[in-house]
This record gives sequence, structure tokens and C-alpha cells, in this order.
Amino acid sequence: MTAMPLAGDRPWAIPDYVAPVEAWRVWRIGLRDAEIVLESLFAQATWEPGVPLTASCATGHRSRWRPWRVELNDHAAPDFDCTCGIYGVTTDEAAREYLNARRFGAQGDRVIGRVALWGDVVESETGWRASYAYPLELYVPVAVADGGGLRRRAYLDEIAFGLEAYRVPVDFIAARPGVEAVA
Amino acid sequence: MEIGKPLRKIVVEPLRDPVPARTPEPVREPPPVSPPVREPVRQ
Repeated sequence: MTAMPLAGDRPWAIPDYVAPVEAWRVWRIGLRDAEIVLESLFAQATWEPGVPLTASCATGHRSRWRPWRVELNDHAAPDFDCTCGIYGVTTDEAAREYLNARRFGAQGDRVIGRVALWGDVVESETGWRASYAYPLELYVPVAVADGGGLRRRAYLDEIAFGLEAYRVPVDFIAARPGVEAVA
Repeated sequence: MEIGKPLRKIVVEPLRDPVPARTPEPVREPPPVSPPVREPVRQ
């Protein structure tokens, strides 16, 4: 049982919702100690199996008295006026845009899926930023005509098997034609 | 990720833990031990 890192922090906060926000996002596949792990695309964050990811603000601001220095923000994430927090978008179509390895973030294999967001959540026009998150469902994109053959399929099977450590449903999904799902 | 302009800040406190609980591994019972075969006593 994972501790709920919510009520203890802010016992005075009355929740607006008692079920997590369900969003879509894309993860990068990483390797740690020969185990497959999920990593954020744009932040140096590893999603530990069985542990909710906790947001922190890694952006900075110019010091008022020493403007030549950039100091790290000390607010809790997500802050309404900042860009910090764990991101999710409203539709799978919007998330699929981030499967293209050449356009966004670092290179590497990627998976798409639904994510639970909770805690403080900044609702935006096409998505959310939250203070806590954990995957709900994971999909390994398979390009039908990628020409990878059996070896490639075995590699994707290995990724799907490794993702079962997160104890959420893992399945394959057809990558959209023209989108390079795997680098 | 691109999510547009922020609209409002809400507090979401799930009643149930969103992290799936670890399923307990099945307990293996030891195989039944057959009683030792007693040799017939010669009289």
C-alpha cells in the first residue's frame, strides 16, 4: 500500500474531486539496472514502478537583488503561474504527436498511455499539470510496416513484459502511418 | 507538452490509492509427506 501524500500536507484543503484526473501522455523507455523503466520526455524524471511520481519545480527565476543570478523556484509544483508539474493531455491524438522521436525531446523508444493525475492540479485548455501521477494503462506502439521483422517484435515484446512491473494493463497499439513510433 | 493556457487550479484527492496494490504471491504448501514405510517385524 502506497502512502497517500495528500491530506497530511494540507488538512485544510477541501478536494474538488475524489477521483484522479485521467489524461494521456507519452513516456520514454529507459533502462536501469537492466530493468525497463518509464522516463519523462522533457524532465529528468524516472517513474518508479509502484510509486507515484511527485512533481517539483526545476525552473528558476532572476534574483531581484542579484539579477545576474538565476535562483531555483521554491514553490510547490504545480504553480498556476509557472510551467512546472506532471503533464497530461486530454486526447490520445494530442499525445500521439509526442511519439515522433525527431520532433520532441530526446531520442529513444517511447510508449503512450493513460495516466492518473492528482494532488494540486492546474487545469488548462488542452491538458493538466499535477503534483502526483501514476500510469493507468500503457501501450507499446508497433509500426505495421516498420520492416523490423521478428527481432524487432521480440524487442517490443521485451519492453511490454518489462512494463508489467507497473502493475497496470500493457498492450500493443498500431502506430499511425508516417509517425516514427520507435527510434 | 503543450496544454494551452491555465484555466483554474483544483484539488484532487482520490478516495482510493491510484497506485495498484501489489498482489500477494501464492503461498506454496509443502508436498504431503507420506508416512515412513514400516518394515514388517519378523517374529
